[in-house]
Amino acid sequence: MKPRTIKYYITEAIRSIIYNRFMSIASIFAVASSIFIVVIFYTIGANVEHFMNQLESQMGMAVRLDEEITTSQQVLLEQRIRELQHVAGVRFLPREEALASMERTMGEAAVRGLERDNPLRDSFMVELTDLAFHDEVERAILNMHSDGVAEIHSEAEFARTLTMISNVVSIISAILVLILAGISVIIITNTIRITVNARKTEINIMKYVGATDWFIRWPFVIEGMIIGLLGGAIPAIICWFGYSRVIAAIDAIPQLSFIEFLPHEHIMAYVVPFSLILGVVIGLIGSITSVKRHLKV
Amino acid sequence: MIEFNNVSKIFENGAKGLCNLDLFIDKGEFVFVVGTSGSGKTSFVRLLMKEIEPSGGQILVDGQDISTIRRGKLPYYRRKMGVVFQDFRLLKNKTVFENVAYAMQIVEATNREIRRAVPQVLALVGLQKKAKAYPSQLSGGEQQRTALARAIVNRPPLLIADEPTGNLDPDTAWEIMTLLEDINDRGTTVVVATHAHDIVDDMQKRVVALRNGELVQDVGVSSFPDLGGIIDEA
Repeated sequence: MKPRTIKYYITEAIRSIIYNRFMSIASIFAVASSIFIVVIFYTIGANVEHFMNQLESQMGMAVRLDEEITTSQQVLLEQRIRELQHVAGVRFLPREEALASMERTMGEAAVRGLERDNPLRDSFMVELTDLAFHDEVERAILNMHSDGVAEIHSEAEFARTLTMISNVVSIISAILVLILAGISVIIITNTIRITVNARKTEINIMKYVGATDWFIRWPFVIEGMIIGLLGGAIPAIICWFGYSRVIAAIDAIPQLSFIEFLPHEHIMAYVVPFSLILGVVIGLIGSITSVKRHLKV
Repeated sequence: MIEFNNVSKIFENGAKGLCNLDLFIDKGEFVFVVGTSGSGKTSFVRLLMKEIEPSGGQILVDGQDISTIRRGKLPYYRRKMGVVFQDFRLLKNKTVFENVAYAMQIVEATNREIRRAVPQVLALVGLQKKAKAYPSQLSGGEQQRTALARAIVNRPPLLIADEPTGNLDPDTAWEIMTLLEDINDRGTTVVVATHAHDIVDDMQKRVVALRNGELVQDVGVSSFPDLGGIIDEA
């Protein structure tokens, strides 16, 4: 293909967008609105998953230690627990700190008199990489009974429920994004098809004059890609400027301020390329399939 | 140049387009294909353009059996012929200059070639002052002259006109016919499908008359009879 022919295709595509500006604008907004819905669902899904992961990481288990455990045994035990698979971290919680924490949670009256005869034990607070491995880790630590483990305290049932909710949210958001992306492709292909149908006479004329299929197709393909790119840029821009504001607004609500959202740059690293590439691909598919119908003359 | 050997065309709904047509048109000829609506004129043009395939028989153009042309090569076959339609078929978003230049762009002519050839051909059809006008700003005659300029800008050896004067007033129709005659004088084979018998009578060219898809008369220039009668009858 000669450079002047490429230049001709691009010029024709831009001219066509301007000439058919109302249909072009309609197509751009069809692309933009569909991708925007997909982006919203992706953002919500990603943040829910992030929130669940945070909850999971805060959940763990308390390994109560034997009263008679020596300092060297304690160091060795901590080392062994750390080395277990799926253990993200181990923190030593002295019995005094545990009592202070209990006092903060349950009130001074509940712990009155216990300062002199603290019934709590020293513990290791074990954090897991994934709550799904809770039972596995728990079994492994229980096997360390002879190394100074007295008992394990955990909220296993709650952990399992949380894992299940997290998985369901991930699956639902993935399915929703796929369904919405599919619907977007159909809507946008039809919109572009209407644009091309309106110009079938033009395509017929080109065929009669002796234009090859690709000579006719290229300007439409480039036009579809430009429309898709512009349509993809709109949700990307809205998300770029809107995401931080929405987070700030939610953070301002005291009851929801505990939620920690994914950072702006993390979301944008996915949303911007996803919107632009999806827009271009949709424009490409839409224009190629639409023009194909009119080329058999 | 053009050879129809026992060509038939029967459409899917059973309608007859052409019936066993035998016809030879030599290089440089000017031929009218006449007949009433449904006589087979348009089928003849569409077959020649390879827009439809014959049900039987063989069509040769420049010695080539056009049924052997694959779909991918069809554009290159069509570039050998200029085509003019009754409804002009201009690209409405392009100016007169651009409509004519389009035919050159598809053959990847250089900008220099386009800038040289298009004004020449626009001058030939008398539209040099309308180069920047869009089709919607032109009269019917001017639009048809633009279509004619587009058809001849690549100097094709064959020019096909399907009812080129159908949408024009008598004076403008004559202007178009005179232009077609000028083009023919320059060596281009011209085939005009029409039912405008007054023009056909006066132009005194070869006339092929069709009726119900059959050839009813082929009248050469040397034996020119009452053509109006033939067309009316056809």
